[in-house]
Amino acid sequence: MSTPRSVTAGAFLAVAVFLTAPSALNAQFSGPCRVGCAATLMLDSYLVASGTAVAIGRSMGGFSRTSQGVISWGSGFVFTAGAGIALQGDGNRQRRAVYGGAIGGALGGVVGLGVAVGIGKGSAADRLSAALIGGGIGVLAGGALGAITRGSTQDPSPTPLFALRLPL
Amino acid sequence: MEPPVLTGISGSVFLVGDAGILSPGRDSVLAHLARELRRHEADTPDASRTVLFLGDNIYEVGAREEFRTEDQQKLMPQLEAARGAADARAYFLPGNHDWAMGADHPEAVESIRRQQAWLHELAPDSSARLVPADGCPGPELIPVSPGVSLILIDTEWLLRGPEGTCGGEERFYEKLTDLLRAHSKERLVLAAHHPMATGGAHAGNVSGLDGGPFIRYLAIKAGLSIQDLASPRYSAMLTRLREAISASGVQPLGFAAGHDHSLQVIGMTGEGQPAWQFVSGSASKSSKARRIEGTRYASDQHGYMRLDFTPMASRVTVFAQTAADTPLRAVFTCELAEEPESITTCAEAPLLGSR
Repeated sequence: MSTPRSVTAGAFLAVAVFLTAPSALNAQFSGPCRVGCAATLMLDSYLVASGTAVAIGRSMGGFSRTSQGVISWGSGFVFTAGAGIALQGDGNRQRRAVYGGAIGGALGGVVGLGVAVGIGKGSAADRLSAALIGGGIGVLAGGALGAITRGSTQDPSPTPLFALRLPL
Repeated sequence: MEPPVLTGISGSVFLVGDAGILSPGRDSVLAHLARELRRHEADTPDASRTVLFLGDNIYEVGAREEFRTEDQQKLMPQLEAARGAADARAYFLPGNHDWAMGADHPEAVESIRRQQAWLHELAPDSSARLVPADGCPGPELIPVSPGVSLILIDTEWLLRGPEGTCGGEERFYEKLTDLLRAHSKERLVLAAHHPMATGGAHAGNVSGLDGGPFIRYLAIKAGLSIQDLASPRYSAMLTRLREAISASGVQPLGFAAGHDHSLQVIGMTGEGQPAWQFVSGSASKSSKARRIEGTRYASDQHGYMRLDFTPMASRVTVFAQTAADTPLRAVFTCELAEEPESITTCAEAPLLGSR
């Protein structure tokens, strides 16, 4: 499968939009989730997208058409990035969700790899797949947990997280 | 460079893979192939000459009626090169790109039948044909010379396993075992589009930035595409092939394939493995190949291979460019030992002189 460049370009564009917002809007990045958080959200999305594509692709025995891979990968990416962006009205919650997702992804990856090794899945592809699926599940679980958990202190500011205005 | 003379050649097989796209590299490969065939005919008039196009004969989506002229332009130069020797027989194996949108697609078999019909039109004397035919997987036996035969397989069909066609997968593997047994005294070379072993891109030899930052890389490493060796269906197909070979009790001399756009000669060991893997898939495209266990030669240059058979010996010679836009020359040759304990030798023969 050759992943179309459009998917890559789209991911780069999304990162660029986050990182290069107009200066007037950048001032709003005073909330707890700033540039590092935006980058982490991209990594979360990347991991969920990869985990989704691996889970679907391998369950099919392998994608037989490039479009199947693109749809699987792209939907995972858009879903996760969209969920992160949707939390922009609550900076603390967004930060907890994004960083919780990253921690969950790391743990999930290790657990996935451990399961693959434990049940004797010997090939490198099997182990990588298990780690990616585990990582993707971990991001979603960690992100959801972070989003529903209340912080110990209230965010005094209603400042939105990302200075991103989608034309929707 | 001139490969060492092998006297008493009874038959030769030219392995040309993935030649279905117009490119300067392909022009060089096909021109050299035509010259080699002429020379071969002059030097060994009594030997047989077989040209095996190892699939992906028409990029990207096989033979299309609405693009008949354009698609036949991809096919014709291959046919003309094979006519470098008047008595050469050319066999075109189907590759994944020849199967249009994939062998499980309802209209894909039409693309295969169309290519088959075009070859029949372009070579009405049957000097060139698509094998296995009719969108079925084979296996089909092609005699090369006394005691030497090819067994041609459509691995794209095996990967997709279209239900209810050609008797089904199990019937194919039974036929393969039976065919191997029936010709157990011969030197047998299996040929298909997809390799059993490779150090190329389809086995994960890509860098992290190829095709996007760690997207294609992860996809190949995790076996996401059915066209990559790590995918569940590809690895299941290889397992079934090895089981069918093992059940026959016969070790084929080799397995010729394309798919990866490189040139590789790999010695293989283990249950159900042919002795040698020949990957010759760089006739029109090229991509990286790294050495894996058993590799005797690997190159990402445009080129092709030739197998020579005498009553007692077998030899492979690799013809390739040594740099972009340079003429092809013989770059590697070795005797193909058949005894398992000798398989690790494949001493590289010196290439003498220059041409």
